Amino acid sequence: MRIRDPICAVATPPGKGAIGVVRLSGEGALEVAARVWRGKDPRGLKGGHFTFGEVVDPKTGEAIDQALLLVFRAPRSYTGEDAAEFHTHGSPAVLRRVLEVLLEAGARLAGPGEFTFRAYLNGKLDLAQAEAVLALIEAEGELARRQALRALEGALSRRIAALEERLLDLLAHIQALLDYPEEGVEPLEAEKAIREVLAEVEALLSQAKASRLAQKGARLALIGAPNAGKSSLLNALLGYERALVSPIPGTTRDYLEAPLELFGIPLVAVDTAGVRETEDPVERMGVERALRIAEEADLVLYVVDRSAPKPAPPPLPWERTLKVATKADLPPAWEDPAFIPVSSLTGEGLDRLKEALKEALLGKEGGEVLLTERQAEALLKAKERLKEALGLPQDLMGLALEEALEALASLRGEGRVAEAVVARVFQNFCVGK
Amino acid sequence: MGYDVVVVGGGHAGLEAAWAAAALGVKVALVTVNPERIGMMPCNPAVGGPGKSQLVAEVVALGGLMGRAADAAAIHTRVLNRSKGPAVQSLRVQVDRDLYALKAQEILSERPVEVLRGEVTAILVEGGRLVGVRTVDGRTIPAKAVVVAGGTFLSGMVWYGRKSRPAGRQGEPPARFLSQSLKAVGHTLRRFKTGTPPRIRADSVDFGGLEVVPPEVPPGSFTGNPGPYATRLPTWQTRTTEETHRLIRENLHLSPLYAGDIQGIGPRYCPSIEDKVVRFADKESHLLFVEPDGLATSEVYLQGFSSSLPPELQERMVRSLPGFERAVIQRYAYAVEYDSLDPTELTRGLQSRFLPGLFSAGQVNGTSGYEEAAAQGVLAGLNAARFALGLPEVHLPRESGYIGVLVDDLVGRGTDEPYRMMTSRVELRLLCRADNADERLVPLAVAWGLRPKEDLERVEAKYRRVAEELRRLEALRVEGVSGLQWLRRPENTYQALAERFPPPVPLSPEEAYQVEVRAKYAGYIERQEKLREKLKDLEAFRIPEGLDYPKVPGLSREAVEKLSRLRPRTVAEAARVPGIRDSDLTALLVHLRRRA
Repeated sequence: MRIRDPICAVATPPGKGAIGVVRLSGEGALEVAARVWRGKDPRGLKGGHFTFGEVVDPKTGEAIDQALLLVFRAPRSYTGEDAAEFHTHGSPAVLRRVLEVLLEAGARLAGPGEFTFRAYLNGKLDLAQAEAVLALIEAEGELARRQALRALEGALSRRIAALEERLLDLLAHIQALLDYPEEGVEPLEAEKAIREVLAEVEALLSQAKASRLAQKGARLALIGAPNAGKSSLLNALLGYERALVSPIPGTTRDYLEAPLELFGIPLVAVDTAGVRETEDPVERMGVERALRIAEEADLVLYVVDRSAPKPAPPPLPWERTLKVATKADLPPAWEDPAFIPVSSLTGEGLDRLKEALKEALLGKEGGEVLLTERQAEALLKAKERLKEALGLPQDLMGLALEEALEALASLRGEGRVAEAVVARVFQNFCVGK
Repeated sequence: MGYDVVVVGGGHAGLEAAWAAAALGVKVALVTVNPERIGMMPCNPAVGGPGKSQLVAEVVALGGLMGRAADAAAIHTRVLNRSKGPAVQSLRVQVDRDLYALKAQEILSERPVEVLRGEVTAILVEGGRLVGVRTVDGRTIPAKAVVVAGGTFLSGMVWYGRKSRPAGRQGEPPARFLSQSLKAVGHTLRRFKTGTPPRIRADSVDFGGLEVVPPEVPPGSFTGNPGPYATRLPTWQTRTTEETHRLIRENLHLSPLYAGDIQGIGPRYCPSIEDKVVRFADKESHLLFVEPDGLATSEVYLQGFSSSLPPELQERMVRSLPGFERAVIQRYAYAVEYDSLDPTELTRGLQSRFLPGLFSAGQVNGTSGYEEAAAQGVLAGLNAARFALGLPEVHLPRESGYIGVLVDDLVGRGTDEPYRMMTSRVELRLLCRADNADERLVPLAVAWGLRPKEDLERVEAKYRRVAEELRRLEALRVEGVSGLQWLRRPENTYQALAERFPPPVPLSPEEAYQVEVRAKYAGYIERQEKLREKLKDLEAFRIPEGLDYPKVPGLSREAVEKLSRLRPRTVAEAARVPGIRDSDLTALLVHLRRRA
């Protein structure tokens, strides 16, 4: 329960729209905004003013979208705190990225009703409104409680609880070693244990992606050299002729979008212009656009003609890219086990590609668990702390694990960790003089 | 003849309380049954260790005497957890038991504290105000404030096997009447229990058969001044055998605990050897520490072997240990059961919620350990003197360090077993290290009159030099990176850096250590500082004293019950009460806002 730190959330309804609004509020909100903003420094703006610029990823400097930034100064804002609003294009992919960079820049995801709650605490709402807020918060609390209870009976809670148990054991072991260094507590293979928990957290997180995709849909980009067979592959996946196919390279100058559903996930497949070195200014625009589409996509199919010499790979987000070798019905010009051979003509390899798509989208476990964004955020925090814990000296490792455990505990709405650790030390270890 | 502050008890809490109170220039008396035994160590002859050395460092920073006495009486020192990170490095000092008491008394005599012999039987109250204490011989000692530091003496009962007799410690009479007086004030008393191991005549031990742990050279110290004998003696280790375990298992019915005679709650972290054998039945052997009692080594202490089994069985148990085949027990192990106050009935200045001017510190507040006792002694003595002077209570917030955590845990949460400090209890342990206790607490100590002003100037100068050196290192280029980044690599040390790029004025070893820790752990320290800010955030939401919790809408029944009892002063304190959920805090915040 924190009450002044910067919080953010998407304020517009889910789905596509002309504009999308991300709200940010709290102490230091304008500093957070400045970190992700290219343009006029929002810290220099008066309240009630706005400016045009770009939201950028502070780590890479890469632009996410052009946007308007509105600045509010305490107490003259909805919450009564310093606040900012980003008005971007209304694409879910953009809004998601904006949230991501804000989280990285020091904000956290707002809890339900938290903007309103702050408005109330800061005296922005009157007593009658406050009654409504209280009712709202209580209702949401009640709902959250019921949800937590339901989840407790489900797979997710059991898995989280099991992870908490393991972390608690680990922490207790570390604390036993630190608080009783001489008493022959057996040494700890911490790294191995942490890696196991980390793998499990990552497996859960991969489900977070699946569950988000299941709810919101995913964008699938087809990228490759001209005439590599992207459009044919799309048609084969779609089962009917959607893209215009011709043997002349560069037939798809701009891009085509086609909705399809695979494994219950609503997908938008984007067939892009061929990616190659080119002098044609129109085609070059198409190429740049294609690479940007790849960047924004949830999953990329990198399509290469196996019957022709292998081209140099373009800059793609490889961690979410599947490699496909097309024209598998023709004699191969090269072999590479990293590529899935497919023939759009004969349908050979299509099933294998669909399997790979499914795994890439849903993870190995196939999206059985539903995770909310807040749960995913907690898991992400746990993951970061666990990664950090590896290789730290024992006291820092303990602190990092404590934070990981707290993140997991917050998933289930549980609180303090310290007392549980102390209890566990004496339960598991024969220490004390 | 009246006093400003009367301290009841001359153990480690009482000593510090009297010493701290006297620092404020008030008139102090220390009343004890046995003035010769002031500063006695009834349990193991050692000070410090994980969690506890941090407490001692804070006691030292607050001007307390424990660190000085321990250093002067040291016979063996060791830094534990040296390689495990700066937050958990812990000094432990073995002391000469008699020399420690002597040094403690010697230091105490530097300030005008009157030592009176007597058993205090009652807190005297007139018209709802505290006016003094009465002793068993009917004497009245008038006082404006009283610190009860009775240790295990309140209705103390000592057990050897299933035989018991009233005693505060072995061979010393208990305080028989004080409990009644505290109850009359309104306090709740509980029975706690603890135990000690047997003492063995040193000349009956075959040390040749034992594992030797040599003292560290150069020795460590709490104050920067190691004593003359600090590297004099080793300690030893031995192990329980199959025979030891068999003897225990076959005779459990002779233990007053297993037979159900003792109802008091013992600490989990101080298990008797019986407990260890029963609870960890799969362990074939338990490690035991053999600690010399003093320079003369006339007696050794068998750490880890506390027991309440009958003496004749103890003989056989001890003789089953390697090196102890012909051992002669000088003093038998025993369990002691005593009254302790419910610390949730105290303020964070360790003052009674029921009787202004009445303070308590140490084991009587439900803790265990000399260091925990001393820490409370400083705070209680300071506040007692302030009370006598008409000044408001002062507190050490949780985020200020180990003493803050100790008091916050005791008062804010309560304890149902003797409370022992552990590093894992301290959320901000990377910020609250033993090495920077001076930076954290000397400013408070000086402001409160516990230490002279010059001390603050010295500490400020030290940390100014540290800050300057950190700035210099940031600007320095070493192998293509800044000096700070270079220092962050695990293999690099400040010493190596300072040799290649010496600072204008060389740093003292303490300053160099600060630079190294601050450079190496900068990222983690920063994260903990953020956490501290968040804690402070909630501290800013104060809860009015008489808040009627049942009238707060939306508060769970459990929260109403707990908060009504514990009466947190801020939302942050409420948040730390076990069982309080986020929804309770929300309801509380909304209610407070509406009142405002």
